[in-house]
Amino acid sequence: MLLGVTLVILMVVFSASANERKKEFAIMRILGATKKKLAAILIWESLYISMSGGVIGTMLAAIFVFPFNVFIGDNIGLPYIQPSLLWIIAILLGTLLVAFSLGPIASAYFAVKVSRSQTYLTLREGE
Amino acid sequence: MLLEVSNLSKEYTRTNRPFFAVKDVGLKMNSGDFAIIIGRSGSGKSTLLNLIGGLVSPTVGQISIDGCNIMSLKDRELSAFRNSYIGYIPQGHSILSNLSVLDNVRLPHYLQKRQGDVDKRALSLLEQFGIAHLANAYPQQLSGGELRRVTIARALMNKPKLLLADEPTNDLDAQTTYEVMHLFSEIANEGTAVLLVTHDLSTIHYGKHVYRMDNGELKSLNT
Repeated sequence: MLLGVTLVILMVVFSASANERKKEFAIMRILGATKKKLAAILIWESLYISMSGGVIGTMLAAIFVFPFNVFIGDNIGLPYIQPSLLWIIAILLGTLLVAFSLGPIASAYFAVKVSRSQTYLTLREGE
Repeated sequence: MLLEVSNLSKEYTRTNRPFFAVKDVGLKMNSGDFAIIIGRSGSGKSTLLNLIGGLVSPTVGQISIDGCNIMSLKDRELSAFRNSYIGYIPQGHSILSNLSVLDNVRLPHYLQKRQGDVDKRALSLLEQFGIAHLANAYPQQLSGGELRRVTIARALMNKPKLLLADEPTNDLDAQTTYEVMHLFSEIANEGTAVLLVTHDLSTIHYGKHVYRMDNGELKSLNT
């Protein structure tokens, strides 16, 4: 459910971002960008954002959880049991994989939509 | 013949009725020609420019640029063709505000696979238009005339054979209009065909060929 909520929030954010930049993409089309290139720009941007978020998030989690594991255990009333290194690595990789893929999944629809928009009409919006 | 437009029409539907934004237009241009199309707003000038630039598909007609029928090209080929052969100056402000002046001018080079010294070409264009000192400035720091020069430099980045300009002096004062039109004349003299649309009658004397567009129909005003 948390993943679903995250995906929806990301989709709203990417939708707003793509909408704000419609004219920018129209100008790039005029200058010779292909539809695929425009879609690729959005997908790659969302991938970089996801990757940054995933790496920073897991680093912050590690900084707070590992040094303070006893404190956390005392406060929630449950003993902290350190997983094996293999488990930690597996969880880390799994988390990063999910984080990295959420951005591109959320932006895919808008990437295709932006690439298909009518350049001529987009330029005239707001006139 | 660099540009050949024949029997070109673009039909839209408006309030459930069909109307022709461009109606049976024919136009020919050679390298170095400077053609100006005048007409009031809504006459179809911009639509014609967008058709020639391959941004809109015609309902009927042919557009040939340097021997290539652009209507037969798929999106990837048409984009590459536009990037190489056509320089387009859209109406209004079209400079990307998050890029510096130099990056804006270089942008067309990076949108397709290209060889060559991009910095040298971009800087020489800025030099030619008297704005080399603004290479690292951002669009928010430039005047209207300077922005227009950046747009023109960007349009010429890949040495196009045809330059299309949509109302390039729309929001400029008289002095800046004179300077920009003079630039277009120089560009045409250097061999690039320039097709400019405007509703500003004070600029028509710059053109070698002048046309009037009314209700989608194009008529030559040259005697």
